[in-house]
Amino acid sequence: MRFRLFVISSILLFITAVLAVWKDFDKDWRRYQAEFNQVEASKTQDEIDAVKKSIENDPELKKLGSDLKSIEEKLATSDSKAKKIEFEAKIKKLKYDTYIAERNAKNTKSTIGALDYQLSRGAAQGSSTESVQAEKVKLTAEWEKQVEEATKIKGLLTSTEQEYKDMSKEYLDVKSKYDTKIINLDVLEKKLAAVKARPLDIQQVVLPKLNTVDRCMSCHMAANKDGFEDKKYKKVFQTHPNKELYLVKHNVRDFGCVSCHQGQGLATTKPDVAHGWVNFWDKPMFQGKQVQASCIKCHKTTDDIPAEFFNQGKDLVTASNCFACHKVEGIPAGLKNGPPLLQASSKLNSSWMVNWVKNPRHYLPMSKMPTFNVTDEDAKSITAFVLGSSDSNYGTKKGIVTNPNLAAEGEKLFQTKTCNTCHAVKGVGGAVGPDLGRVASKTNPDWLFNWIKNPKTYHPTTVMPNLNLSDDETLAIVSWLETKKWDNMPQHQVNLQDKKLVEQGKVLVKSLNCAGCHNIATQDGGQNCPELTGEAEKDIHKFDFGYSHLDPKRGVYHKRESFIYNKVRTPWVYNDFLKGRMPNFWFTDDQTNAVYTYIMGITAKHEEMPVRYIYKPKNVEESNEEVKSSK
Amino acid sequence: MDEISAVHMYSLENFLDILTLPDNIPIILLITMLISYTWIGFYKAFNNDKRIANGQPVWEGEPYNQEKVHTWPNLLNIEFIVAILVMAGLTLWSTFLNAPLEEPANPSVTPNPSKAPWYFLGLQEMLVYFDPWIAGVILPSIIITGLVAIPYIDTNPKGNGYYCWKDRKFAISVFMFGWLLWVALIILGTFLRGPGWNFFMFGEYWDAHKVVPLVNINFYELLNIDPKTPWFIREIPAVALTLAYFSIIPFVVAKLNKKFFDDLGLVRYSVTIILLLLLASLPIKMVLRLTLNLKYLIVTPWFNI
Repeated sequence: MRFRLFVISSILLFITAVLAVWKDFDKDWRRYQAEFNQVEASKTQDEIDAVKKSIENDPELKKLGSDLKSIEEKLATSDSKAKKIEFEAKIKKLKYDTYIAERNAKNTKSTIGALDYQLSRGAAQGSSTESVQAEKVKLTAEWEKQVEEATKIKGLLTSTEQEYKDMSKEYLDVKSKYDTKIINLDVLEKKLAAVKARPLDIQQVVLPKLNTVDRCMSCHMAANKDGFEDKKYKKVFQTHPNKELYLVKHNVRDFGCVSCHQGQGLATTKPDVAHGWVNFWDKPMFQGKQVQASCIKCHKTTDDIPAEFFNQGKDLVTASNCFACHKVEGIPAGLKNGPPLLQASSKLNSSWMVNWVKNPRHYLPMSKMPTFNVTDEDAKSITAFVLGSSDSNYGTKKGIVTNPNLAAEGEKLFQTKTCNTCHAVKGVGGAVGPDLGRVASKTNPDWLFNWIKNPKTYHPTTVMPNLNLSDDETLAIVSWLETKKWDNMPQHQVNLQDKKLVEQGKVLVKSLNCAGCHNIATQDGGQNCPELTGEAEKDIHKFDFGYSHLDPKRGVYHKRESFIYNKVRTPWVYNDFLKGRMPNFWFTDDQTNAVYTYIMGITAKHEEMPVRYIYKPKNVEESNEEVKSSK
Repeated sequence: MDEISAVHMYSLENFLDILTLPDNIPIILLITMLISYTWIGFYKAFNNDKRIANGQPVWEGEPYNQEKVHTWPNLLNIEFIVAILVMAGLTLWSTFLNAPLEEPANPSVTPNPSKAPWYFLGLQEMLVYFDPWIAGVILPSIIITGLVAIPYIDTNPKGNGYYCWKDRKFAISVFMFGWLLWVALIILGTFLRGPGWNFFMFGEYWDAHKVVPLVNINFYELLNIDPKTPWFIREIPAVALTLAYFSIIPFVVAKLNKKFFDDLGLVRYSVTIILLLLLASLPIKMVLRLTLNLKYLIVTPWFNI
């Protein structure tokens, strides 16, 4: 009984040990590599078949083949064999003779040299040199004869050798022609044998300087191989896109994969694990074009490299003036790019402004101003504060009375004075300035008149030029614009005297950082929103998820990447219980991705990159010299 | 935890997720072994009680159980087989369950919850109810001293070498109470304490942002004593209550159960009863925390009880 138990438990232990070894052995990279070897073998086999087919259909090659055969047969006869042996013996003897003749000539020449020495020494000592002189003359004559002899024998050798070669010349000619035809096939067959015999092996790049070991190419076997660009191959087996730039210029033996793509380079068990898309892996792999976030690790500027996606994100961030509110170390703060509101009450209709604050896109779909998450009440209080604290005394002309009869002339002037190149009216016209299709509900004739006369007095940094219009012309244009009302504009009653409302507005203007983009009386603005320095590596618990941690339907995951993406795309998903301040910029998915890429790039800490990796552009003089030398 | 498809406040999935965490395997084994060993022990004890009542010898005293055999090979080969099986079990465990690793350690970020190894979870749970130096130093020391003192306190010769219940009711009850309390604290710390060491019911989603009201108050606040009062005046009622707990109860017990007192003698009785009262203080404090939100009984500038 005990013995049986012992046997059974021992077998169990053995099985568990085997299981443990098998579990350690059984990893996805082996399957991927085996599959790739098959793919490459079948690809090579296809190429071999193609070459074979082309050879089969080649009449010239057929003729060469039969010629070669007949010549080989001819050379194999006993007659030609005997001739060959005879020639070889002759050549051997001639070679020996040449050697002897050349050696004799050389020896004589060196003796002459010794005599020369004796002569010169004799001359110096004044002794008699006649016998030596005679000897030299004799030897010189002999030497000349010997050289002649050697040349003759050598010529004989050369001609004999040529004769011998000529014997098999025809054969060699045909053979080399035949070989050139089939050499491709030979190479391919060797390659196929090599692929078939290739053992499964971890392919890794060890980079001690970057402190990484990348085993990505254990599965992505074709990343650095030409010929797998075609989309018909599985994505994992495709050649790296634009390999010349990304794997040759950035030599993969120096850069590896993870230094740009991120992910868990050491992992080989499963794709998701290797890509770092697992819990607790701090740097998951970038998806698609997001990888451009890594360019800035080594390139100080991305203007001169093809990181279009990153640069698109940069442009969007600049246009959206993100750095007016958020600080990132090393990047200058955004300027106040919105129109000043110091004299807003001279310009804006309060009801219009409430609508605008609630959602600028309602009035102007192309508005640069983002939509803040505010209620009607909030919008009213903001309007009350901004209008109440601003100066209503703007402009030199007051009390403008518009004349509907001038409207037709105004419309004509709007075209002839080229206003329409920048401003659209109900969608027709340029897109530099705002659409004026509903401007009459926004502002008043007084402000419009003074603005058109000289825009810089209201907004010093406006791009709108002073067109030097006369009062009559201006009045005509204003009269025409005054007919452009916003029909059915939602009406709001704002009491500018309501102290409580104004006070509430002041708090909101401060908290929403309106003064980050607009010049507002008594408000400083500045970067008073969360600092983004190090955002790409910030600890997960430092993000303000509110109560929305996990809601796959809305794309909310408890991950840093998900948070940053959502905050840019749909910031209000985190507002379920607590109201965030971040406005909605209405980015599309692609734009969000670009912004995300840019933010992940500039906010990562890159000091871990060794100096030798940092891109140093050649200075201008050097490159000029290069240009010169190349010319 | 991240694999939960949608957040349900209470669900079986939540429960199973926590139950099947690789960290918690030892606790599952612990519970299974606890139940089986308790059952075996009590089964044998009750069996022997019946035998004694019928005038038979105890099972361990039967002639066929008194037979002696050599250690080698009779015992050692069983041990060897068990060693092989344990080895096989550990190999399977480590092969198919990955180590519960988290992100690389960061000295500036403490994981939440930061749980002690499972065998210390009882101590960690005690920290909820007591001052660190009481829960972490005094009580563990008393536990060890108390265990060391058992042979000197318990001089009852019955039950030596065999299982029984009727002859050792008191000793077994006290041991089972202390032991099960300890295991219960470990289970509580494993399955019911989530992020922030907050209490989560079985099946409740471990929300790292659960808001728990901190409404615990000290004993003097229950009595409406001004906290600004000097502590030695303020704490008079609490100290009196504590002294009463440790002095009146022994008297009452001795009076009610004269035989118990006589059997032990004054010194052994005092040591036993004080150890018992200390053992009971933990559940009492837990009950007071749950019912009266009692934070500390005695609050001094140096320590709290």
